[in-house]
Parts: sequence; structure tokens; C-alpha cells
Amino acid sequence: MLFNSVIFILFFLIVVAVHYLPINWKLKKLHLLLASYFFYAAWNPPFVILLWISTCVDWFAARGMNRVRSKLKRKLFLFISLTANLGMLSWFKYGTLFMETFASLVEPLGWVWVAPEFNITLPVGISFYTFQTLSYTIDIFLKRSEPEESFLDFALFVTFFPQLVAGPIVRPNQLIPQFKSPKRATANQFSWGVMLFIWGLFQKSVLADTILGPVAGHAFGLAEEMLVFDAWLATFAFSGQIFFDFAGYSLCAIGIAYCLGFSLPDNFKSPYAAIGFSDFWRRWHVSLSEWLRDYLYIPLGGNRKGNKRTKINLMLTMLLGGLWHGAAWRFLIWGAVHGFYLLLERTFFQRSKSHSELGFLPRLLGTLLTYLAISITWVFFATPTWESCGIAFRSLIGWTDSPIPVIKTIEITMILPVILAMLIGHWYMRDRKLVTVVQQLPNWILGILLFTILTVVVLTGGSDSAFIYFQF
Amino acid sequence: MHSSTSSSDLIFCRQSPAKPLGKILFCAMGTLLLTLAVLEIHARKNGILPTRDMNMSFWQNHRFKLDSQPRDTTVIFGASRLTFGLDHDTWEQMTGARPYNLGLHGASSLPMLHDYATNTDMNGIVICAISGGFTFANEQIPFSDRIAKAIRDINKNRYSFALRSEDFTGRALQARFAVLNPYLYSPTEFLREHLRFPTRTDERAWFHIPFTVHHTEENQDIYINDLTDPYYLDQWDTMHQTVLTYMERFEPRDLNDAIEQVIEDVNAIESRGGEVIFVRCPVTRFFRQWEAEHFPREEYWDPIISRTGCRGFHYLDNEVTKSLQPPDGSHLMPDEAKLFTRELARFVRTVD
Repeated sequence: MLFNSVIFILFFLIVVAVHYLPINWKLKKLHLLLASYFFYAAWNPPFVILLWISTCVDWFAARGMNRVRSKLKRKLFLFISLTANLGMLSWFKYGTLFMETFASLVEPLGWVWVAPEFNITLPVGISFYTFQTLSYTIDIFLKRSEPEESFLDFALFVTFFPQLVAGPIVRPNQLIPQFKSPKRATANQFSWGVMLFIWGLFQKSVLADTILGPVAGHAFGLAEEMLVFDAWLATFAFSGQIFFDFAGYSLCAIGIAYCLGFSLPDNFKSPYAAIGFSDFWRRWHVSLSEWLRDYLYIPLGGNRKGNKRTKINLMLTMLLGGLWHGAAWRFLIWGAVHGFYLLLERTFFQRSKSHSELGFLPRLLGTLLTYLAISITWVFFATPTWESCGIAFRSLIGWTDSPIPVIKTIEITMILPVILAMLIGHWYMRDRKLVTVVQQLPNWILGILLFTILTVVVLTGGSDSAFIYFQF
Repeated sequence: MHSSTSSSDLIFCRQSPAKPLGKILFCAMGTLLLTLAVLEIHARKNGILPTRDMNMSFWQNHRFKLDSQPRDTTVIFGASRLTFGLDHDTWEQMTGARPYNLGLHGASSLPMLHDYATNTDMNGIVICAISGGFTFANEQIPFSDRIAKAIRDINKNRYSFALRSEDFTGRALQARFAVLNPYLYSPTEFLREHLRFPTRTDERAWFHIPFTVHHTEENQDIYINDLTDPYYLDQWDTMHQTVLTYMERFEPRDLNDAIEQVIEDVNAIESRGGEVIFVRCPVTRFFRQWEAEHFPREEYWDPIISRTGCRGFHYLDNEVTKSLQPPDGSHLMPDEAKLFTRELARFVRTVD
């Protein structure tokens, strides 16, 4: 059930209606849990079983871990949790990739092995809820928190539908405490939640799907040598598409949760206004960056074991972060390039001035260079094959024989203002919060803006595009 | 990732602006409804009908509904030439029953035929279009792969509430309100319509040409908007030439394998009393030249007819249809679609 579908609106209206009935809190939570299972089953009913497995394994593993004193036994419970969760993730997400890679590796040795065709379907959002539930067991293993007493609250934490399939990846201590007391939004909060949802829908349906996505998809999917101008424009279009697609989804999720009285953390903080790559990762998909930092980078030793080890830890974290995004070696390369960027930054700019001390021009230059470098890495995401990836990179530097224009002039006139507005918007919002900016707007301007966005969303409609991050 | 402390230890509590947000939201939504009503009246006054969006979920839902049709229903498989070229009313007048059209833009009819043969027990007439390029397109081509994938996952998707519900909401909204046709009042389409920039030299682009296709609940395309307009025609041609050039980069499907599969499917259908009739729709302009060069009749039509033993309706073999002139080279407009349908129905009736 996509957020940008009519049936989701109907589903949500029913959920809201029941949530605000005068019934006790436990029943309301049970209703939210069942609604979340229904929401997930709407795509493919059998995959709800995976959610149940994840929930039950981690519930019992955490309690077992807390009951025993022996470190070995605690490790055994952690092992069970990791094996169950990462096992499911590996099979469904990486099974085909691993088998095909194995087949291609043994072929030169004279062993012809054909990977069996399982036609594996990727359960929507498995990477998100796997990481979310893993954070629970790891926290308990590391004695950062105690096991949850209520199975209902824990199951709801794993399954909470607004952020179930594409984040934000929420930590137990961010969400479970919110289930402890009755939650309801005030009329003002509810309206703000609806506005966030509408703004998210606009980003997804209009900017990502209608203006930027088709152009980037066509230019990179065509796998033809492009004019340098077209190649760069397609790259910028994809940078906008992936941002609006994912940030739009996150905003929808935040808005929906807020309508029900729950607060989810921000997942994007004007990432294209980042100055440098570590700044970028503090702003892009924040919940994943923080997860990788807290559950991978720091346990590997973080920056506490010397310069060399820090660099290795950084690279390993980014490689795994890359592979988390998709079952293709291109994503690993994407992670490697980001790891390389971070190493460069650490080597050459570690002791430079803080961002606030920089003048306007250095900050602007730093932002634009960062955006440019990040945009180039998106080519690994945007191209469907290695061949098209190579062609895209060659087109970007003009190393082509007979390049052709692949973007219509009318599309150019729409993409350029959108990209420019996105960059200016990120720059303006860099150190501001949306709520503060809206607070300062006159009511009539807010009303006109809201009406315009709503109208454009409704009249544009008609797309059945899934969110890009669903595949991750 | 440089910090060694977690920032997620505190429970996040979101703030909302201290404004009369409820009133603002109410006013915006009220004005939106009013605007939609005005636009709907405007559309109806201009004779614009509601239209369903032609996408994969529409097609899949349409395919699911085939299972509840009478066994002897006449079913149509093909690409856009048959969604445009077959007029359902004319067919009903000629045969007494409405056909069930499962055509899909840019799709091969062969996976559809295989699905019909293996996943249904129907025994009516099957009209199967052989279009050259799309029918034998390599499955690596994305727009070719989508139909194979949709059919491969058909049983899984059958139980997807999200997918099935799109049909319900489509029937409830898109099929009733013209204003919800995304090509009609969308601001982006408005820009595409009014900023008429010329095509760049050697341009290859196929997305977002400004056109309106009227697509009915029954999966019938009735018209493409105004191909007499040179601007539309130029955009349309660019799109088609992009597709044809793209397809040239891939080897077509192995012809012998494809025919073997078709023979197997035809035998399965005939063994339960059904009948398959192959159709070649009219093409003109650069399409005719391209198909003659890449998918000549002697290789990609005659052997199918002779080896399957089925009857075939080739537009060049009929006195009326051989002179039809699709304005864009590939898709018949309403009047010519009626003529083509009449001739095809006559041909089919002689089989009865």
C-alpha cells in the first residue's frame, strides 16, 4: 500500500477514526498493531510471517540474554538473533547475487555451476525492520537497555506502519516509551501532521515521479552516449529524484505518525547543503547513518584505535552501508567511493575551521563541491547495469564517439529550476527547522501554498511508482 | 560518523507551529474541492470523458478479471495497435459479444498467449497480434520484461490487496471524474503543452510527450490527441524512433524457440475447444519500412501461420485494411479502427 495511493488514504482515515474512539489504550495499541500487519500484508500476505519471526526471535532472545549471567550464553542469544534476522535478509536480498557471483567466480576454474532460479521476491522494507529490531537485541546485549516488559509494545515497535517499510529506522528508546501512555494529537498537531504528509506527497508524486524521475530513468536506462550537458543534467535530476523520493516518504511517515500522536525523528536535514562528506552523512538518511555509526563503526573501534584503524573502520562501515542499499556490486562501489571521500576529508580537512567560522564564499564553494561529488556517486544508483554505468561516466567527461541529446528541451526547462530551487532551499534551511520557518509565514501565504501544493498533487496523480527506497 | 556518542538517547518530541493550522487546512481543502468541481464542469462542457490511467496495475487487475469471464469469451492479446485498433462496440455489433482486450502498450503477445494456455481453462477465440518488433523483442529490454514479469508473478500478485484495491479506487474515481485524467489539468503537462520547443537534432527521448490518450475501463484506447498538429506528430515520431533504435541494439528472441512455444500453446488451447487467430495490424510510414527490414513477413508471419495451422489476418491481404493509414504510422484512429474491426470480425465469423 503506497502512501501515494487512494487506498492508503482510506486505510489511514479508518485507522485514525478507530484510534480516536473512546476505548482503552491497550485496545488502541492492539488496533495499531493489527493495522500495521494489514498494511504490510497488503503487498504480499505471506511475508507477514517474516515480521512475526523477527518479532518473536528478538523478543525471546532479549529476554534470554537478560536472564543468563554467562557471557557465552549471552553471546549465544545474540547469535540466534543475528542469524535469524541477517539470515532472512541475506536470503531474500542477497541470495541471487551471492549465487550468481559464486557461479561466475568458479567458472574460470572449469567448474560450470548454474545458479538455481528461485525467483526470490524481496519483502518490502526488510532492510529497515531488520536493522530496527536488531538494534533492540544489540542494545540489550551491550546492557544499554533492559528488555521490554510488554510484548504488545515490542511487537508494535517492530511493526509500526508509518515507518515500517522505508524508515526512519527508529531505536527502541525513541519509540517504545511513546507506547507507554495514551497518545493523541491535538487539532493543531493533527493538522500539522496532515500538512507534513501533503508536503511529502508533493515531493514524491510531483517532483520525483513526474518531473525528475522520468528524465533520469530514460537517460540512464537508454545506455547511449549522451551529450556532456545531458549527462550532467540527468545526474542532477537523479540527485533530486532520490532525495525527493526518500525525503518525501520520510516526511509522509513523520506526518502520519504525528497525526496519531507519535513523534518520529527527522531523517533528512537539507543534505545538499552539506559542507563536506561527514556533514553530508549527518544530514542524509540520518537514522541509517546513526545506526551504522552506533552498531558498526563504534563497535569496530570507531576512532579510538589509531588513525589507520579508524580509516579501515570508516571504509568497512561505508562498504556495508553501500551493500545495505542493494544487492548489486555497484552499491558496494558506491559505498567505497563514499568511504574514500570520508578518508580524504579526514586526511586533509580534519583540522580545518568549523563550518560556522567559514566565510560566505568558502561555505558556498564547499557546499557546491560536496553536492557535485555526491551527485557523481548517484550514477552507480541510477544506472541499471555496469555497461550503462560506464557509458554514463564516459558521457560525463565527454569521452564519447557520437553523443546524442536524450533530454527534451521542455524537460530541461523544468528540471533546471527544480534543481536550483532544491539547492537554494537546502542552503536556506541548512540551520533552520521547517516548523520555525512555517511559524514565521503569514497565515494567508501558508494557506495559498498549501492549496497550490494540494491541487498540483491531485491533478498530477496517476502514478503507480513505488518509492525507490522500498527496494533497499 | 565521527562522533562516539549516540544522539538517539533522548525521546524526540516534535513541535508544531503555533498557528490556526486546522482552519488553514480546512480552507485549503475546501478551495481544492471547489477548484476540482469547476475543472470537472469545464472538462465535461468540452466533451472530455473520464479516462483510466494505463499502467501495469491496471493491466494486472484486468488480467485477474479474465478468470471470471465466461469460458468462451473472445480474448485479445497484443500491444497498443490492438488497444487502439479494435473498436469494442463494432466488434459487439458484428459478433454479438464484447471482446476482452488484454493488449498492453509496448508488450509482446507471446507471454500473454502462454499465460492463457497454461493458467486458464478458457476455450473461446483468441485474437493474438503479431507486431514484429514487440512480439519478438528480447526479454532484456525493460518494456518487454515488464509483461513477462507481471505474468510470472501473477499468482503472487493475485493476493496483493494493494494491487487489487487500485482497481477499486480507479473505478470509483478515475473512471468517474474527467478532472483526474493526469494529462488534462496537470500543471507539468500544461507546461509541456504550451512551451513548444523544437526537437533537438538526433534527439532520442520517449518520455512525456504531450498527448492525451482516452483509455476506457475496458482497456480500449479510443484516440490520441490531435495528430494533425505537426508539433504533436513530431514529438510522437521522436518517441517511436527512439524505441525502434533502442530495440535494434538487442537480438530478437530466437524465432524457432518462439514458434515452438506458440505451437505448444496453440495445441493446449485447441485441445479444450478454443481457437487462436493471429492478426497483423496496419502500419505505414517508417514503421512499415522498419518492420520489413527487421521482421519481414516471410520470416516472422508466414512460418507462424503455416507451422501452427492457425488462421491469420494480415492487413495487407484484405482489400479494405491494406489501404488504412494510421496517422502516426502505427495506431489507428477511431474511424479507421471501426473499419479494421469490421473486417477482422468478418474474417473471424467465417471461421465460425
